[in-house]
Amino acid sequence: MNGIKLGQYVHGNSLIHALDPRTKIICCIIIIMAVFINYSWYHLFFYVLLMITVIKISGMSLKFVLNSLRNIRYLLLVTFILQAFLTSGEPVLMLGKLSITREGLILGTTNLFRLIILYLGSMVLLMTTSPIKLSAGIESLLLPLNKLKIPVHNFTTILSISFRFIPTLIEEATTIKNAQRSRGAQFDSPKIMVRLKSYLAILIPLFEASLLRAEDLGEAMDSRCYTGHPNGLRMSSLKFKYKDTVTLCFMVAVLFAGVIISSIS
Amino acid sequence: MPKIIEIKELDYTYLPGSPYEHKALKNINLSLEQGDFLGIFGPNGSGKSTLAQQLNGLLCPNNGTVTVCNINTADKKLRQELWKKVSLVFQYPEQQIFQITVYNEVAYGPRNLGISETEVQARVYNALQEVGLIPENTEHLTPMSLSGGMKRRVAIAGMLALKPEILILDEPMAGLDPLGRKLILDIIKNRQDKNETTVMISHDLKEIITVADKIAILDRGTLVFCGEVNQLLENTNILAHYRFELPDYLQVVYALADRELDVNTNISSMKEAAMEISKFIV
Amino acid sequence: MDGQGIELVNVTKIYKNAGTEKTALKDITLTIQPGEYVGLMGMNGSGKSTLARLCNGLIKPTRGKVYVDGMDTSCPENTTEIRRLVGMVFQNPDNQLICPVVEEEIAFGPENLGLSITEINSRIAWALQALGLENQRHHAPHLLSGGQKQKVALASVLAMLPDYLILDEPTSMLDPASRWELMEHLRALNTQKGMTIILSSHNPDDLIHANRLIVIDQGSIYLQGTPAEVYAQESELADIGLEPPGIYQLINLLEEEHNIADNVKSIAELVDKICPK
Repeated sequence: MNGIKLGQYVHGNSLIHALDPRTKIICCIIIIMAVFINYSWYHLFFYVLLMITVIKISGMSLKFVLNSLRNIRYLLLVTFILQAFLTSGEPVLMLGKLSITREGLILGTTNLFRLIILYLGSMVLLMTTSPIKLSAGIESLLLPLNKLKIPVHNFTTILSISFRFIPTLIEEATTIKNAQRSRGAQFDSPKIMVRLKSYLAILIPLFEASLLRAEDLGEAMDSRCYTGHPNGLRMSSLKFKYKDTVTLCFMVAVLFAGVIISSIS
Repeated sequence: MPKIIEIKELDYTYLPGSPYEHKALKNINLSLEQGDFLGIFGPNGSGKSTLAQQLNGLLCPNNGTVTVCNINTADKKLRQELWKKVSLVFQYPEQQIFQITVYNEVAYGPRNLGISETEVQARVYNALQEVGLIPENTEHLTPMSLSGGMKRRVAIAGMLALKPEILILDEPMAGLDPLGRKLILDIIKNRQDKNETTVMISHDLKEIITVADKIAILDRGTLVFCGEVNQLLENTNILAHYRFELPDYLQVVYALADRELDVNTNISSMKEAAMEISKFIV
Repeated sequence: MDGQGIELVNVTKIYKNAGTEKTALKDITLTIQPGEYVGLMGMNGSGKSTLARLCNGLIKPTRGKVYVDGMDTSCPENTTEIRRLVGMVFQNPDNQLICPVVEEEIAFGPENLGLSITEINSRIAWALQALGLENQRHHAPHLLSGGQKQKVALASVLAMLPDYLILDEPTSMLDPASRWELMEHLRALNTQKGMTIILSSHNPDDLIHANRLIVIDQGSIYLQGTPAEVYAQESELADIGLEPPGIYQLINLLEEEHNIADNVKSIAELVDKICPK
C-alpha cells in the first residue's frame, strides 16, 4: 500500500475488484439504508465485521484503511460529543448546566459506528472501482432519468473530468501557495482576515487556471470528435455476472434479515 | 568579498520516513559573491527547484547549512522574513496573478513589505519600466485579459518591485518567443550592471552559458560541477557528458578538434567560432 | 496516402470581441500536400495558432475557404470526417487529457467514432507501442511527466488513424530530452508512415526535420521555402524577431567568405564537409 493516496483506485484482481461497479454502488446504498433503518448494536457489529471481511477479500491492507479513519476523527469526535450532551435522558455526568446522559452515550457510540461503516463502505467502493467504471456505473444506474430529460451523460462526464483533475489542482494550489508566500502572503497569520485574504491569492488564480483549462479541454475534445452524446460503449461493457447476482441477493437478504430480527425483538 | 550565498554540505529529503521519501539534494557545496549571475542547469528532477526554494526560505536543510544574505536558514523566524531579500520567480509566474489591475498586482508584494504607499507607487512604476511596459498605459489594464507574454512581464515586475538583493528565476524563458527571451536576458544584464545578484535555473544550457558568470550543474540531487564557464569548457569529463547541450557553434569546434584538426577550442562567441573554422575551409 | 492535401483559399479570419476587431489572418492562400512536413514559424500573435485551428475545422474562416481532401470545413456534415483525418495536438499537455487513465484517454477518440470494442483495443495497443507507452497504460495522467503526457496526447490522436497531424507549439512546455523524443516520433511518422505534419513553433530547433517552412507575420505569409532558403534570409527573419537555429546562423556567417552551404543541414554534415572522415 506504499505510495497510495486515500480513496485512490488501486488496481487488483480480487473478487471485489471484479464485481460490476453497479453492484458495488447498489451495495453501498443498501448498507446506508441498513444502518439507518436498524441500529441495534449487534446489527452494527455485523456490518463492521462485514466491512472488515470485504476489505480483506479485496486485498487492501486493513491496517492502512483503519489508520485512515484518523482523517475523519474530528467528525467522529464532534458527532459523539454532540449526541452525548444533547440527548435527553438519564444524566450520567453533570458539567454545569449541561449533562451527559446515558442515552446520549449509547446514541453517540451508535452514530460513531454508523459513520465508520459508511466511511469504510465508500473507501472500498472508491479503492476497488476504477474511475471510468465508477462513472459508467453511475451513468448506467441514472439512465432512467433520461426519460425526465435530465442529461445524465453530461453529468457523469463532468464528474469524471473533475475527478481526474483533483490531483492536478492540488499540485497547482501548492505551487501557487509557495509563489504567493514568496511575495509575502501570510498564510499562518494569527489574524483571520489576513489569512482569508491570503487564501484568495490561491483561489482566484486556481479559478482562472480552471477556466482556461476548460476552454483548452473543450478544444481537445472537439478535435477528437466528441459530440456530447452518450456512446453506449462503456456502459455496454458492463455486464452483470453470476457473482454480481449472488452478491446482490446476499446483501438484500441481510437487509431484510435485519429488518425482520429487529421487528421481532 | 563577502559571499551573499554560502551553502555547506546541504542535504534535503522530501517527506522523510514516509513511503514517498525522496532525497532531492545530496551534499551540496556552493557559494556566490554579490553581483554574480549564477546559472543552475540540470535535467528534470535534478533538484534545481528544490535548491532555489532553499535559498528563499521556503525550505530549510535536513543537514548542512544555508546562509543567504548573512541569514542562516535554520532559524525559522529569520527564514520566514527571507522573502523580503530573496525573490523567487516561479515557473510560469503568470499563474499567480490574481488582482484586477496591473498596478495592484505589481503592488501586492511591496504592500506586504509594509512600506508607504508613495514608495509602493515608485517601485511599481520602476518595475513596469524595467520589464519594458509603460506604467501610465498599463497600470489600469486587467492582467487576465493580457497576452501570455505580457502577463509574464507583469508577474516578473511584481517580483522586481520587491527590490530583492537576490533575484532567482526558475525557467523564466519557458514558453516565450525570441523577443520575450531577449527581455529576460536584458533584465539580467541590467542587474549585472548594477552589481545585483541573480540566479537563473534552466534545463537549457545554451540559454545560460553565454551570460552566466558561474554555472552549477545538478544531476539527480548531486552537484556535478560548480565553477566559471571557461572552467566548464576546459573540463573534458563534464564536457563529454553535456556536449549536446552546448551551443551549435561550440559543438562544431569540438567535433573538428576530435578529428585532429588544430583548432583553437577557446571560443566564446559565434563570430569567433566562424573566424576560427574559416581557417580550415579549403 | 492518397489524399488531396489541405488547401486554404483566400482565407481571412477576423476575431470580434466586445466591440473590437482583430484580424488574425489576411487573405492567405496555401496548399499543404500529403506527405509534407511543414514548419510554421512566427512570433506569438502572428496568426500561426489560428492557421493551425483552421486546418481541422475548429475555427471557420470569416472569408475564403478551407478544404481538407476536398471537403469544405465550413460544412457541418464534413466535421467528423475532417476531425478524424486531421489530428491536433496542443501546447499544454495537461489540458488535453480528460480521462483518469491513459488507456481510456487513447480510447476516447475511437469511441467517439463509434468503433467496435475489438477495434478500439487493437488501436490502443498499437498507439501505446508506437510511442513507447506500454508501461504507462494503467497510469493516471498526473503521475506522468510533461513529455509523457504529450506523448499520450499524441497517442490518443494517432488512435483515430489521421492522415494529417497538426501540432500547435507542442514542445514549448517540455524539457529538452522530451522535446527531442517527440520530434523523433514525428520524424518517424512522416518518413515511415507518410503522415503529413504541420508543426507550429517559435523554437527553430523544433523544425529541423521540416522540409518546408512557412513564416507567418501579422496574419500574412512573410517567407516560404525550404529550411535552407528561409534560414539564409537571416536579416529578414531578424526584422520580425525570429532567428535561424544556431547551426544555420553559423553557416550563414561562413557563407560570407566561402561556399559551404550546399545541402548542409546539421552539425554533423558541416563537420563532414570541412573535414571529411
